[in-house]
Amino acid sequence: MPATTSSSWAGWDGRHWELPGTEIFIESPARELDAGVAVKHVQMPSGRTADVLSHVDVLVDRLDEFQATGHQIVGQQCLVLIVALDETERDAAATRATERRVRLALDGLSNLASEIEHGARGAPESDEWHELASGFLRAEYHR
Amino acid sequence: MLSTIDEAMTRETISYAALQREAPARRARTATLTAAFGEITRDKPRDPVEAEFLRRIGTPERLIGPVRGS
Repeated sequence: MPATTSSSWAGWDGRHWELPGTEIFIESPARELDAGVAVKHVQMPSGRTADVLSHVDVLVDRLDEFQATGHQIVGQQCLVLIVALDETERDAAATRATERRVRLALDGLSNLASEIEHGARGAPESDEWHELASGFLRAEYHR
Repeated sequence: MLSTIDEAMTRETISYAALQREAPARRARTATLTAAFGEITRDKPRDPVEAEFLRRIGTPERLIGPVRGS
């Protein structure tokens, strides 16, 4: 992606890119966005435009990764992204999560976030994150 | 409101200033939750090239996390 927009970027390995002389790097896993995603077409002060993946689709990608891996850091990101949704995005998140087969993870982690926010429980430890993810994966693909 | 431009993608056009205005509101909604996490530690394996870059700019090891292949 950077190679098509600027010759200033230094590519490390075709996936990671650094802007020399700065502390900025980006990871570009693919040149195309997934089908069905929503993006924000941002008009930059320079006159250029940038397509930024919507909050809902960032969340759905993270749910997919969490369900597959159970990593704590990804689970925490999912909770933050869920709580950061605004009211107008909640229906879209449910629809996209159903399409991507991560609806149970969305619902389960939404409940978990609410419990933590209200002090009903603490944040899960590493083992519990893995148990949660494998439970969501099993239920999603065996119902 | 998002408008459909083709079957593959929906796209909303906004200014950079509008994009920047979203962040504080979202961050405010998540403050209670993130406080409950305590100190963040990365458990997901990191690409070695990416880890080298992050070390170079002074990123703490707990945020770099385990490095793939080491």
